[in-house]
Amino acid sequence: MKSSLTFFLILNLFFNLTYAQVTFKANVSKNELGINERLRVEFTMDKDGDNFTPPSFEGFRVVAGPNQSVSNMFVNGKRTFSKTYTYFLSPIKKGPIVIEQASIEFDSNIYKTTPINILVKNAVKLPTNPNDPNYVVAENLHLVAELSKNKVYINEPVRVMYKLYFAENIRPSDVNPIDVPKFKDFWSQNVETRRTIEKELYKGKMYNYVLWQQAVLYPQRAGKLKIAPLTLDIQVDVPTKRRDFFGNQIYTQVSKTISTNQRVVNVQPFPEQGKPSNFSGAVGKFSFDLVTSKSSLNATESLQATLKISGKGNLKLFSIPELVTPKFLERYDPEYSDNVKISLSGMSGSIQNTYTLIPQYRGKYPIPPINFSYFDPSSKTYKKVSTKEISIDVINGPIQNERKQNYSGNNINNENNQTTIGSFEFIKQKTSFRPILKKIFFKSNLFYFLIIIPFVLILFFILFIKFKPNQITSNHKKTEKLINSFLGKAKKNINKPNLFYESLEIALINYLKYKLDIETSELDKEKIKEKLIKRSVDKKVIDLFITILKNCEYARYTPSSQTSMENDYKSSVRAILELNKEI
Amino acid sequence: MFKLLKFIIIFNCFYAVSQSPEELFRYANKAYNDGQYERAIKYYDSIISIGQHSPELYFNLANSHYKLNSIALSILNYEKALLLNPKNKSILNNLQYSKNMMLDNFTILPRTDIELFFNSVLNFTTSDGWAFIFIISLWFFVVLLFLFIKSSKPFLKRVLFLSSVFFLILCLTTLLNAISKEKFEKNSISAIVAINSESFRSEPNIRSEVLLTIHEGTKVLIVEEVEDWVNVKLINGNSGWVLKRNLYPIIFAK
Repeated sequence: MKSSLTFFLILNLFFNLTYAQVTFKANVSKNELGINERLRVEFTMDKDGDNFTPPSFEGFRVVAGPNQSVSNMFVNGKRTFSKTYTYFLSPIKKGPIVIEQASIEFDSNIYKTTPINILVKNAVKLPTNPNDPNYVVAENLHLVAELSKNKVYINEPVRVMYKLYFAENIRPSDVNPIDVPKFKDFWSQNVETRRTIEKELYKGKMYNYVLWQQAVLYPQRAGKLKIAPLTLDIQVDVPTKRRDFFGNQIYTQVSKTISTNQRVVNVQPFPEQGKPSNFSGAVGKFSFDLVTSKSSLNATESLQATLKISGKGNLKLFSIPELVTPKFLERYDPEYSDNVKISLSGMSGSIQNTYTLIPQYRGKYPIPPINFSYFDPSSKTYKKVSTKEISIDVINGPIQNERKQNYSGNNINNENNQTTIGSFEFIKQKTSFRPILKKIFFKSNLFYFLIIIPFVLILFFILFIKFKPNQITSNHKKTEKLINSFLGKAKKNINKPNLFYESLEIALINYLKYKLDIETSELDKEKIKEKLIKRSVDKKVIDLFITILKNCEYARYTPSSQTSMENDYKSSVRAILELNKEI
Repeated sequence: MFKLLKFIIIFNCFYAVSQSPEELFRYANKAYNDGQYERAIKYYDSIISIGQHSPELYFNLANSHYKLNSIALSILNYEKALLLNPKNKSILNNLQYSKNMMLDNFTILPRTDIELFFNSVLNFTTSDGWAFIFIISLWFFVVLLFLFIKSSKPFLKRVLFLSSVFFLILCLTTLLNAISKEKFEKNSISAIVAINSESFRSEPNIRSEVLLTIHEGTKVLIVEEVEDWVNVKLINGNSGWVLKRNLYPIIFAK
């Protein structure tokens, strides 16, 4: 029994040593709290456990943690060990909230805490320690970024001022900028400040303040542009309750890093409506002038033409429109100069381009008006300004004498024009008018008529001249044929008198037969004569015929000479021809 | 009866206009001399609206516009005067003064000598002039051909044949000239840019790329028209599109 008891004791001792003595607890800083307060939760174990699993902390937001801490103490040879996980929680909702179990593992045993009930109440006034220097600094030191406008157009100036407010009881002694704002998407210009201490109301309380930094910003694009915060590291002297030997307050120095809240500038784009084509981004209020140093001069002398834009606006952020001049007014590159002051309200002053111009020839050189347009943010409209037209008279000098090659050339093409050496000519006093709508000759009816006429004439001539001689010759040929057909035989026999006269007679009779339509029975000289008279043939011809016929009869009986034969032949030919003409 | 009618018509015409062109011309010249250029322009324009013109009229009108610094209108009228009276020295002289005022200075595209020669031949006279020469040479040809056929002497025949062939060639070339000149006159209408600066675009729409900007007074050659747009060619050979309403075509119209 005794031995069994000692065994139990030893066993008990052993168990105590090994696991019976393990504690794992959850502690909270308070069981009731205001919603604006924080809760600290500690999970403590006196052994070195592993695999800690925190509860879900429903109804709370974990502000910080888990912070793990281990303490190992030996007091009078006794070892005390503890391992703590700490959480800082901030309640989200009001009412009872349960912090669930947390678990941890030790020697392959799992230990759990008991759930804890928490009651969250209404917000309570946080008890503060008014003597805590950090608290004093937090309450009495403010860094503020002040914008002159929140809503601007592109290139409309915005003033940003960084003011450091501090209450009268504290004294900032050393200020180090940590993060100087870079104004991305802005054209910026810092404006110097004197950083003197002044007084101003801030949140209903009188503060001292220092204007730490100020700048003029010209937003370069539309949208919500953030202005990066300014961060300062400030050493502040805070008075304590203690006093020194002489009764003066003792100050403690507190270091505080403070930054401005992030400010956003809402930058509007330019309205599309009525946007001029030559708009180059000038915003403000401007006037635009063109001034020339001379209005009349001699050729090859020089004059200065100055294009000047003056007024208020983003003068440095746009370019001056270019001067346009006639082609023979030689223009050199402009000289730029500006007189722009940058103040808190933005840029003001003037910018100008000065051109040197040299006319080459005599004449008149009008410089056309030059347009410049800008956006006026106060009226939210585009405004156009233009210079007046300036005319430069060149009194003396050579006259332009360019080689003319007028390609489009209605009649004035391609001549080397040497004639233009003279002054501008006066109007003509004499003229003769003609109708504008003149008749076109080419391809007109008259034109075609005149083309056709010679061909018609030629046709007419051909008909008239060629046809007539043809008739004559053909008649001639006919009779010749006729004579040949009748007298051919006679002609052949001209050397034989008997045969000649025989054939001549037959020929004549045949001819008469053919011509007068008479029968062979009627062949009698008298009858022939009658018929011929009837046909009203000339008497001479009739006689000729009759005599030839008689000769033929005689020749039958009397020999005839060669000459008479030839005579008879000729006269018969004549007779036939004459008769042929008459009938 | 007919004469009376004619008289009435003519009388009414003058009554409507109230002044003869010569009278208007005198008034205009007087106004010009008094420095009242706007009034002078009104008078000159009224002569044109009657339907009468002359190179001197356009010359005086151009002078008036020059005095008022309107570059485009003065160049336009000098060009019109030159159309009626090419090679006139005073017109060319004053045109040069007008051109001094221009902003553009394009270099002229160089052309070959052959091109220049053909151009100078073609520009010897108008299409009507060529047509007239054609008719005369045609007549000569016909007469000579006829004489050639009729004549019997061999030497004379040879001479007549050669000369008729010559006139045949002449008449064919003049006809060709007349045709091409007429085509040229119809197709190559030039114009003057009317406004201070005009965009010279690659396509006939407002979205297309602006090739360059041409200024008042620049002479362009009209190539073709598409709706409100005109394809034009500059003297430096560039071609592009401009708005039709910003051009003054060099054509005669009432």
